Amino acid sequence: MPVDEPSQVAVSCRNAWKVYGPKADRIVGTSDADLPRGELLEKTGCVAAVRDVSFDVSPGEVFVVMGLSGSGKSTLVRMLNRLHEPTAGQVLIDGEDILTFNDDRLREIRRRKISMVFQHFGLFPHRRIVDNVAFGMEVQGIDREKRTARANEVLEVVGLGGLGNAYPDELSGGMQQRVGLARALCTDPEIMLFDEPFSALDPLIRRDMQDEVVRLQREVHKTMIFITHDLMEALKLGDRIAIMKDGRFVQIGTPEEVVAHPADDYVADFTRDVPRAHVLTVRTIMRPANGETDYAGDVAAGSVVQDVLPLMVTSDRPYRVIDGTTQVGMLDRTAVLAAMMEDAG
Amino acid sequence: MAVRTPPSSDLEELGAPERTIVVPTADRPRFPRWVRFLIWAVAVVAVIAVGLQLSGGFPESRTVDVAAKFNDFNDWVITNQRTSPLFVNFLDPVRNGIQSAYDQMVLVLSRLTWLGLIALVAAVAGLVAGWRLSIVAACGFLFMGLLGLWEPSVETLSLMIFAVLIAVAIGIPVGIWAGRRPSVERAIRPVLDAMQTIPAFSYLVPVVLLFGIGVPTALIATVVFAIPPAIRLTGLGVRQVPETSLEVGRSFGSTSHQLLRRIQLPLAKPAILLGVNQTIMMALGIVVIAATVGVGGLGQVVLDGLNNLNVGLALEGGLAIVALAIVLDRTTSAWGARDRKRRGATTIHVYGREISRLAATVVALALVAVAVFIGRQVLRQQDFPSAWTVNIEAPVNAAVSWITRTFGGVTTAITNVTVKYALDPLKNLLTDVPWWMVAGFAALIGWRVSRRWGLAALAFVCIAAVGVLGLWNESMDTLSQVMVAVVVSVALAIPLGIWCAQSDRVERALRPVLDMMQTMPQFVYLVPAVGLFGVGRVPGVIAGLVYALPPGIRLTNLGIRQVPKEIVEAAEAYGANRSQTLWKVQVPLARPSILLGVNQTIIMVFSVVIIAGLIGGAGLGLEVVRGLSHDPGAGMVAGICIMLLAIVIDRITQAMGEANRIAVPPSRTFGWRSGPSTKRAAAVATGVSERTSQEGEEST
Repeated sequence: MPVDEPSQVAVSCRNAWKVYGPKADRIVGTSDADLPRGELLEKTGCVAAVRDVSFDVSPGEVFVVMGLSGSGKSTLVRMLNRLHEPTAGQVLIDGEDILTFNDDRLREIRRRKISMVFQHFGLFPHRRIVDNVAFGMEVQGIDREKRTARANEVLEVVGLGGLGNAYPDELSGGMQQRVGLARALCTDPEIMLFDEPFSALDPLIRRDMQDEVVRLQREVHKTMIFITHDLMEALKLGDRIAIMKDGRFVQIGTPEEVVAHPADDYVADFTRDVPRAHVLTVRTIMRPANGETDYAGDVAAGSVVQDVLPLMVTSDRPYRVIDGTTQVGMLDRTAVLAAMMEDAG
Repeated sequence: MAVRTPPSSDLEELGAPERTIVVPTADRPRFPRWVRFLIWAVAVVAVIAVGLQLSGGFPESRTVDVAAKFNDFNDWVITNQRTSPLFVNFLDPVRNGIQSAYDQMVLVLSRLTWLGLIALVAAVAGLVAGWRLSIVAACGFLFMGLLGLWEPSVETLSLMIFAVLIAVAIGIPVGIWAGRRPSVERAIRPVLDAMQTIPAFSYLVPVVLLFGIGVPTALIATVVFAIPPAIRLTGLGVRQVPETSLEVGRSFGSTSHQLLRRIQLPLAKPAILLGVNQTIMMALGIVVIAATVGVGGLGQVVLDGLNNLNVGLALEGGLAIVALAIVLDRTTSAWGARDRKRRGATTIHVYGREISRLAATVVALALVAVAVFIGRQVLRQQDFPSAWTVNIEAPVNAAVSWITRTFGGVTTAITNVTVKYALDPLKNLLTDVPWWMVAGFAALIGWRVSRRWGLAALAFVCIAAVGVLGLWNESMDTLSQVMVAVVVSVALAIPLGIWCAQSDRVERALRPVLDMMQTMPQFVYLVPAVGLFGVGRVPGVIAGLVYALPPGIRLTNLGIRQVPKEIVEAAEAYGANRSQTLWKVQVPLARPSILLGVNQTIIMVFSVVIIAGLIGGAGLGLEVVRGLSHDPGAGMVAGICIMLLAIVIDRITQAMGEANRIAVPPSRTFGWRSGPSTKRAAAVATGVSERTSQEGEEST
């Protein structure tokens, strides 16, 4: 899915750095920048939150940044709309470096292009739900009638129709984050930033909300950059995942790549408990076709192992693997079993 | 807008080192505690014994006659005020403007007639704070009329409105500025600290020097005195808007102005309203004291009563002041509380609330108009009809003389014992040892509590300066009164506070009493004290210690109740009984709060002891009274001495509290969705009376 042509890139981050501390801007580009965090702090009094991060996100892609607390992921996402000013590097939106923008242009981009969903919802307790949702349009100077109508429309979309006159503290956590989601959708931005939006929610509610995002993504096709510390969430939502550690990207890849081919021990450690069958696709475990004609049926190369299990139960003959209309390989029952054994072992 | 320092939580998350916690390394106890105490006690007694052999007091040859310079200035003012451009072009227009604006306001309020004014007050109270408050307000004003004090009440109200409007008009913008810019906040904080420490009374003298006796002086002093809470609480409210709310605002492209208007101000509103409430109460406190500069009003009634030993008259004035205080306090705090609830008819439809508010306003204004019409055209009475007034002066005076006859022995005994065994020995001790010993002792305490030489030096210099200014004996006299009152007040307040913390029933029973006590201006406390103890130092000391009880009780209670439940549970889980839990866990953890209570007690006692100069309490207060009547130079010097003592006392007690402060997670929000403890801590930390913040809490 990732495409490298510049015109096809919605958000691009180039060698971005964020260093906190005295004379932070002098760190980048020196040998100090490569020191481990503790030593850097010892030597210069600076903390490098984000170090030399580069990535491209295509329009309509869901790009997930996963990392533990302290890995710099929240700082990174705030650099994309310049809530935090990068120390060095570029942030390109539609090919333009927003770091060169003056306050007016920056505001314009925040008003129309990028919106953000916050970890602790960030709802305004003094405003009704509908006024919370309409906040972005209000800031743009759109008149009340128009923005209220739009806000109510968006509330319907997130399943909160009719609750516009309530206040945030009257809603449950999950509903509050739906409001946060609605607020971000209301200005119809091209890019949505999610800063650990569901980490404060109960597991069941969290799953609902994840499904909600999947559904919305299917309906509205936004470019989403999603921060999380939950690997399962990352695997579920992400078209691609970046694993972040100590301010750096350790690996960028599709969920399958990350699970099947971890870049280092750190990533491997993370993905160890992920059920392979849920992530690996048929394409990964198939064998080349050698012209045999005896097969039980067709399976799609892109489907996850978990989904083809029922077929494997019904027949012990191999299946033909097709991508579109062409055959790309064969799938044996033993390959599926092997994949599942990895989970068990 | 673009460049920001990261919130500290981010830095912590990123692995920045935790702030180093400096644990004061206590000297290893070489002796048991009581032995060390004994050594100290012997040392102190020995030093004092030596000191008593030396020549005591402050040598007159080293004093500087600053008073003469102020008097020269005063003379210059008197001779030049018709000619000097400073007066003709600046001070006179200011003075005349204030005077005529005040006269206009009195005139307008009077023309409304008594009926119209009561209707107006009730309408305003009802519109901002709900219909119950309109009844409270109407009853309060009716009461002032019934006491036969309508005219002075209107005068006091006019001065109040005028002063509060100015204080708020300056205070809120400055507060917003300070709230948005930490550098501004840092710059004005010490100024505000000093303003809130110095007793109200000493504000009057310098203004008198420039503006003479009268309304303009009272107004300016009132505005200066009452402005700090408006600035402080506005700043606090703006600062405590959660970072996420601001990030949301920015992430949607808000301009700085939009951030202020749509996020910071609405979220800070409860705090701002609390600030307005505090400003009003502080203004009332000084407006009545301002009677001493000849503005008339209710303060004048009390003052006349006190001066002529007519306790009945003083009590009438005092009751009217209390009624006014209750009306103003309840109305403004209910306003804040209602705003926190922020539910009008929100569930109906979008414009519901505005329409109903508008309708209510129209109806209320119509009623006021009818009342004014009846008052002017039908009753034709501007003032409250004298036929209806109730004279309590005579019966009160009869009661007072009965009390004096019956219990005279008791009160005289109390007075004599206090003077003979506490006030006089202490005062003699302070004046008989050399001045440098007193100053050195203050410095020692300063160093002991803060371990900083700066504070020790400050204490020494300030105390020495008092001597240089030539008011050594008067200052020591005042100091001895403060010490006695503080010791008694704290000795009463801490046990009461602990009792409150142990029993919800006691707390509930005591709360309205404390509320009432904190609503009453300090001036009023002198009235019953004079009724029981006559004039002199003792009634001042007693009024002061009673006035200072509420914060001591409240902060002790609060400190104990704020100890986290898990910690108490942990103690109980190990089998601690109630008193072990109290003394080993709760009280030690409550110590910062209790010490803050002591700090407040000292400052409050100090301010009353100063005012007690009006009822013959000797010392600096008396000098100020004298200064206001005929010797401005001496009054000015006394005012400076008061300021110096206040600063020393406040710095030392604050350092005491800080040394004992235990890290508590910072409170991020004020008013909205904040836990009870954070809000209280915020209120207490800014020196807001704790009562109002509690009230707010109950209604949230």
